[in-house]
Amino acid sequence: MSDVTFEPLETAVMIAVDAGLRWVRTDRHRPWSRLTCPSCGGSLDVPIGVEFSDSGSPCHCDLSSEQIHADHVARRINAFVYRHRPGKVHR
Amino acid sequence: MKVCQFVLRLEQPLTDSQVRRLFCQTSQVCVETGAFRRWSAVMVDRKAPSLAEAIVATIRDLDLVGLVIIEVGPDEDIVSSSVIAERAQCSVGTVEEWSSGAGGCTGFPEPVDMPGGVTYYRWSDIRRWIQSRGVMSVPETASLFVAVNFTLRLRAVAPHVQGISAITSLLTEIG
Repeated sequence: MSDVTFEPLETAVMIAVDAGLRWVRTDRHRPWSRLTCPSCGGSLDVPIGVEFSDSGSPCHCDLSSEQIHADHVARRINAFVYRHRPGKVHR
Repeated sequence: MKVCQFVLRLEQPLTDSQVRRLFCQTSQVCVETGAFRRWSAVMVDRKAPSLAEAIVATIRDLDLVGLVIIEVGPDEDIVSSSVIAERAQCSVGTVEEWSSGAGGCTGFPEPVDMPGGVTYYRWSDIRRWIQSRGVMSVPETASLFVAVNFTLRLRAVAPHVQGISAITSLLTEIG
């Protein structure tokens, strides 16, 4: 995984939380996590494991495969947050 | 191998079981379900020799999970500097030079006002700018998506068409 940079992914995960979206805690054995919009129920399933601290905040991300680049998943998360930002008509 | 990006619209939202099976099949996708579960789409970042091969491989992955595809289309419009660099086949440094106006480059599109202050652009704006500057060519993909969608529709109706082999023989005569 030498070409994988986790920083944009972890940043995207936290931006989503700051924007009021929710990461759904999933089974640790599942290679995916779900980001949901509490306003409309829209969701984004991503092939990463988001680990949570005891307080329930995301604290760590794992890619389920080295084939994908963290930057690509980060873009999907950021674009979802953009579409579900406050004041935007959710589709 | 390049990273190919596109979106497949699905007939209905996925169940959790289907999402799990899809991610077991490929990790080069994300699944979005729209507001009030009105629509669902698979967004793809797939390494492949060509966009056509990436689309076909993804359709086969979705077939294995039993998902029905309505339409395949271009990727979503929000892009990072690294995605621009991949598509324009240049370095991220070159994109940063364009955006900073270095070397006399002017009129580079403004970034989108993203939550969290991360810098993303609209590909539709960037594509226009690249084409207007003539700095490099961006492949046209509209015809490819038309061909894929016609094929998906043909595949869906084929079991109900008498003499389908005579019709599909028209396709084998191509190229």
